[in-house]
Amino acid sequence: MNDLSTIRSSDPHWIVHLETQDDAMLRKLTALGILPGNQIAIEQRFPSYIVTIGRTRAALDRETVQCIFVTREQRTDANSNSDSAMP
Amino acid sequence: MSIKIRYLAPIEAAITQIEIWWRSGWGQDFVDRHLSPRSFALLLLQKDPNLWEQLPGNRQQDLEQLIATTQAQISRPISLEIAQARQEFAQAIEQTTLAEPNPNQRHWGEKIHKLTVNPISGFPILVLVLYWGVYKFVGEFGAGELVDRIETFFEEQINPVVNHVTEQAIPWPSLQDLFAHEYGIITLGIRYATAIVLPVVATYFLMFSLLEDSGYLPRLSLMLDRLFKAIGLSGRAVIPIVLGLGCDTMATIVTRTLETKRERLIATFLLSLAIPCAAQWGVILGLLAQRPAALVTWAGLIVGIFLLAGFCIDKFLPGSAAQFYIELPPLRLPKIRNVITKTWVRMKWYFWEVLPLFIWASAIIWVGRLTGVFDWLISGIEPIALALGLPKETAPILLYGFFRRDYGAAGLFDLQQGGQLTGDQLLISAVVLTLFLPCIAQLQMIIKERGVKTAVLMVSFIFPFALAVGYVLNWGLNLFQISL
Repeated sequence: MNDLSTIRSSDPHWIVHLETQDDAMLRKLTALGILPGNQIAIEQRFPSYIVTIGRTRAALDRETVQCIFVTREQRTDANSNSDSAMP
Repeated sequence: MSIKIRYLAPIEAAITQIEIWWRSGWGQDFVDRHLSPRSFALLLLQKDPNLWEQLPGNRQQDLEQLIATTQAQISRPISLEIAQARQEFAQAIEQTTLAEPNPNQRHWGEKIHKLTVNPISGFPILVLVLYWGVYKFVGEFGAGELVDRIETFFEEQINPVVNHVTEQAIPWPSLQDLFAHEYGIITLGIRYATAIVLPVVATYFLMFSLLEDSGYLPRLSLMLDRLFKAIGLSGRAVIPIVLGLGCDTMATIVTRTLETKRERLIATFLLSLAIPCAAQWGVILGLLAQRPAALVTWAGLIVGIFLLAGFCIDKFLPGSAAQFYIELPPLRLPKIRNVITKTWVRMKWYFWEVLPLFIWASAIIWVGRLTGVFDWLISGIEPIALALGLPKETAPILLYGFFRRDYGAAGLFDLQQGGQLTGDQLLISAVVLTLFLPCIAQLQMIIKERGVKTAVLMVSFIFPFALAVGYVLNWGLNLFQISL
């Protein structure tokens, strides 16, 4: 499990965990579809991170990206939501 | 039609329990009773802060307990489970209903998206958008061309008639001044609102709606996020700051869209200190146009102060740094009809919001002149003007500049036309006026949005700071014997 900012490839990764105590931020991220069990891919890193989650595209800063933890393989304990694959 | 999403069994059980409580009288506690008991239950399970506040203490306890027992039965946080269930539901709908758009069309949108966010092509595009959209269209066309035409029309066609009718109808010259002549409500207040503010705001809102509907604004935010982080703001603040180049009063209202109180405070402060409004920079550009060295110095100083002030306030203001997350909608060709409707509605709202402020400003000038308070203030400002190396004729401009920053600039324009100012003096007064206290409409807005205490603090910093910068600038120019 690595935080998203350390991922070099642009392949989609599975979100495992969101490391934040900030409720407002958590709500915002979940509204964008950034929640455990979904897949996220990095499109660009500079000047801001651009990520895609399904059909949603979002720009995030480094601090936000660092609180998203992902794995390359889908974890069995993450969620049963295997049909939410990227288009 | 309402669609019911099924959540995990323990969550459904908790919802049922809250629905029972709702029916037994909890519903009475809340101001907004339009919610269905189910929505209300879901919000309470996620501890929605607004609803939670309205709940009496003993009920909060019951609810805490219910949430704890529910949470014990599931592995992940309740709010996450709820979001997940919704997400899956939305995806299921999507799969059954969505038709893929024309791949060619999508392809173009994608290509343009890549160009706008790639650092190599994105920054030049950003500069072009700001140059043509803000500088050329709002600044030169709106604040220059249109303002000139409407003002000339007012001065030649309307003001003489107003003056004449007022002189006939009201026998007392001092009362005539309230409505007519140089500073009257109609001849100054209404003229300013319609001749200066209206064209600026109209062109600005038109440009802004176009950027908004095309989906470019969030891309602008992401390009500038890093820069804005250095001054304690996030990419989101691009919107109010760019709006400030149109009208600072309007931009101060728009700081509401920023996430934290800290960001709103920093943005409001920077807007009042270092962001000149279109009416103002329009005139300043005109003033300094023949003196490129002075123009570059002015722009450099203001940008420098903007960045430095932001950097310092970010260092010293307590609170955590701004966060940035924004959705990037697909780029689209804006629908002209939507853009025009939006522009029109915003213009109408804005006009009725600021018109009273202009009328007040005229009335205050009238009282100030009538009672002699203004003469007294001007004689107090004269030595300050002299200390800045400015002729004493600039004293009234500095004072009236407080009522309209652009009015101050326009006053300078008259002095320059009369050949009374050197390049150095033009530069110093342009810098001081840009940094100077915000116009009275903006001050009223700061009080409304940030409170009296913050407004007083800001004003008591900005006023001496603007003069100090003017003083140091004059001293530096003299020391190195620079004449621009």
